[in-house]
Amino acid sequence: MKFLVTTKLKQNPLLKFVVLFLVAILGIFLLTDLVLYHLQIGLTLERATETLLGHEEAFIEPIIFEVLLERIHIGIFTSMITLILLSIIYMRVLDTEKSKVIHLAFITAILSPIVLLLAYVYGTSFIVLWIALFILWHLGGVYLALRTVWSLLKA
Amino acid sequence: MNFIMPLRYFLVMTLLLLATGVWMFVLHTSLSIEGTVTYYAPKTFFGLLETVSPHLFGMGILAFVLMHFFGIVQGVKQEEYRGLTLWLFLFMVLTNVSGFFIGEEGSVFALVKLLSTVLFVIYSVWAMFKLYKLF
Repeated sequence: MKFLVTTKLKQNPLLKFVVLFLVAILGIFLLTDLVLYHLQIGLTLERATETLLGHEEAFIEPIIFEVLLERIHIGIFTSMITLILLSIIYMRVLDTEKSKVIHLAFITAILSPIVLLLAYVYGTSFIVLWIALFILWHLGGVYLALRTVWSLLKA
Repeated sequence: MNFIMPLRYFLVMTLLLLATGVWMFVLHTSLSIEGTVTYYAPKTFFGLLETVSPHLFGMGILAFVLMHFFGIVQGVKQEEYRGLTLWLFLFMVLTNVSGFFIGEEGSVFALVKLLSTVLFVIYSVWAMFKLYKLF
């Protein structure tokens, strides 16, 4: 990973090009991940409640706990790799060590799977919180990607 | 440039990843030889491969990312971490491969699976603790 944070990034056109595409793809990944989660679990209160808690009248069973845990496990892996790459490249390209968006993206990404587990047990109020956290960390990541791509294009 | 802040968040997320992984492993095996045999023995080659393949990728990346910091952070005696790196990768391979050899009657590979998984987690957490102190 050290090659990603080289100080010579802007003087190396090919490396700059490669990093630019990596960041752009990670940004696109975050957007597609939002759509995927909306289809799998739901990013509206009604849809997420149906998936997590079921719907008796519509004969919809709640999601099996092991399936949810597996999805959370995979989600943590992809989010940690995505955010660490986006944040260190952002810090290097924009030459900044302080960014509230990096804190926001990481903190919401850390809380999101914990709150999703709580939502499975305690229900609606945590579901709303999970949707907010999940969307926030994705938007934080997309913001980091967009700022980095813009800065690399200008350099 | 100081990258400590995102790296500390990364360590927290790695802990969460390990915790959910251990949680699933406990649900599947109850951390007992009988439970491990009951869960793994009936699985088909395809069923095992569906789990092993993404885990080889994920655990390999995780072990690499964790251990490569000891190679680039200044002031680290690298020879101290060669053994840890070797064991971490060895346990990773053992925990994934041993599942293929767990039969209805054999408990040796179930024991290997249990021990290598537990040791992989312990070594990972220990490496993360060392990194946290270095950062």
